Amino acid sequence: MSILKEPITQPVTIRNYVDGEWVDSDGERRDVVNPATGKTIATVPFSTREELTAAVQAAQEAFPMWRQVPPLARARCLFRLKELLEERFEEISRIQTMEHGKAIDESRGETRRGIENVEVAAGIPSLLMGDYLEDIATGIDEYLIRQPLGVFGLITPFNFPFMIGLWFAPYAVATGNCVVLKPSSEDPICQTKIVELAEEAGIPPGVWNVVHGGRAVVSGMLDHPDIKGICFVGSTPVGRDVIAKKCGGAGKRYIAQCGAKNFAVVMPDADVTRTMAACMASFYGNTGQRCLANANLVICQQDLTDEAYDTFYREVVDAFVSAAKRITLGYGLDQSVQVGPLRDPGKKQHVVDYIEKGLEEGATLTLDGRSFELTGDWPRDAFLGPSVFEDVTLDMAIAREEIFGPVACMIKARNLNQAIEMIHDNPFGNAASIFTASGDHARTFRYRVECGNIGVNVGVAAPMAFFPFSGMKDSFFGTLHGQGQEAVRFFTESKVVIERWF
Amino acid sequence: MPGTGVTASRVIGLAEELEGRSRAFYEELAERFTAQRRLFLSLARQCQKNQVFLLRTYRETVSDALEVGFSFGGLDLEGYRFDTTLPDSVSFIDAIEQAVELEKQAAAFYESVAEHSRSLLATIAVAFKATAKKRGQNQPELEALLD
Repeated sequence: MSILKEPITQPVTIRNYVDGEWVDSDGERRDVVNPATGKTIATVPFSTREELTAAVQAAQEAFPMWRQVPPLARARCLFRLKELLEERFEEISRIQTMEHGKAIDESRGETRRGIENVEVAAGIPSLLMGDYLEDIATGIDEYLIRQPLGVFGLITPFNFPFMIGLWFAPYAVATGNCVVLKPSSEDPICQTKIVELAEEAGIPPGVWNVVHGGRAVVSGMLDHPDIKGICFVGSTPVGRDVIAKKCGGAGKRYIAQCGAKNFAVVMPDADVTRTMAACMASFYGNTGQRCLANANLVICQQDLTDEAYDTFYREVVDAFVSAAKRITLGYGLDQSVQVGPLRDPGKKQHVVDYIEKGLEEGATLTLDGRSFELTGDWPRDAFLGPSVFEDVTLDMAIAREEIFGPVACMIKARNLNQAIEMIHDNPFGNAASIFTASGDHARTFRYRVECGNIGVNVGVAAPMAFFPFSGMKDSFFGTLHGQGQEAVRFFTESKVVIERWF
Repeated sequence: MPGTGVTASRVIGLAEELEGRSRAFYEELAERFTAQRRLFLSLARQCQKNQVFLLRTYRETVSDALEVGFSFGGLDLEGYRFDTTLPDSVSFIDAIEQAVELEKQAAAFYESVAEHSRSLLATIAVAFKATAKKRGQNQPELEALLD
């Protein structure tokens, strides 16, 4: 067992960052607990609505100055931020593991994904360019310019404490807007670290604010007339029933990236060994707390005889279960650990409830994650091993609902067509993967499947920063997505000028 | 097969350690056997470059979408022994033989981790392969000193 050094040795007192100052909150404080060790590593304030209002005001006041800063100068701030994040790469990654629980490889992957967004947003002088057409009528020209709107509210979830803020903030700031970001109160340290580095990178006071808290901050953002738009990543009920409704009613722009129930389809021609490695990362990586995690494994019969299909099904399920059984579970700073704990014991209980529901519904629990071996002597409260269900039907809650934990359902399908129908029958549409050696199957799948992110022999179909992080159906509410050019469009207003000179 | 607790982090950690120890080994050879100082220092520099190259490749391409925790199933890291401790009174011949063995072991290690991660870790696997090639090419150069 080789445990990497913890970058936090004493509990950190987290404060809000408003108008370039670190300010205390009058709200209550709650502990931020390392889910693997059970130790408190920070305390976070639950800010008041007035404190949110003060942050919005600071952002609103900074906006006229910031929008006039040339895009190249704004980009240079982001280049400096990128360098600072690179310098702190390892520290930030280890903080993620401490505050969230994920394994260190996954934290480093998250750090890289976040930095990539800063890199892409640093290309803003090119990304922000408009269009120009001479002589729309003789002597008359027309052009389009993209202008910032003002202040945006960003609400980020617990499952990627570093990266998700960076899906939005760098683009908002690069386009000349100001932001007020509310990180998850469960793991708020990384976002605090980022804004600390943003200040060092030269981003002026009021441009990038962080206000910690819960509902009071979120509802304050939704109600505030100076907030022009909201970016939210979280559950479908909140995204659909709160964010989309409130923003729609108030005329705010919004991106609401929400829940998921993702399917992976294994065709008989798939490379089973490599598929299993991809499946382990997809189903159990980040302890299943990922909106791109696959949850249902559909094993297709396609052209196989019934007898051959029985053999193929068994081969896939046995390989899956065997690989899942050998996953090392423990503290993510232990380099031999592949999967860490759930974010907290409550989330573990939520997953355990689903396991029990699956049993009540008649599914067979082939691998029971409730009993597990732990690498290292850690409290077991938030840990849960991988589970595998068989004999799952699509009407079962475990097959339909988002569990957000390390639970996999094995499902049989007669052919690819039926597998696609199963995906369409589910209300979510975040991601889907196919494992196959056939270009025809792969093309059919990516052409027809109604999901925003498609993986072909890829288990976690996570778009790079220069592509939008897509999503459909109950997994996404809004029009434009986070990341890349779509984020630039979201954070800017298109203004068209028609020009004639007498 | 996946699931043995050999993660990318562990493999990269071992590679970093291997290159660091190899560098110190060659620097010590350069001190002790000054006639071949240039060659040994150049090998030490190469180890330093390898270390930077591998860590940078890993950090620049590691992604939450890659199977970093699950790509090295079946790999036995305990099977590799990198002897970089020079006995006090080691002869030139024995030291070179030790260096050749170190290069063989290092090349075999990188070949193996490249093969294990070939289809899953993309650029990271390519970096392992390139390092295996470099370390493999050092062997004949060292063996020539034995002639």
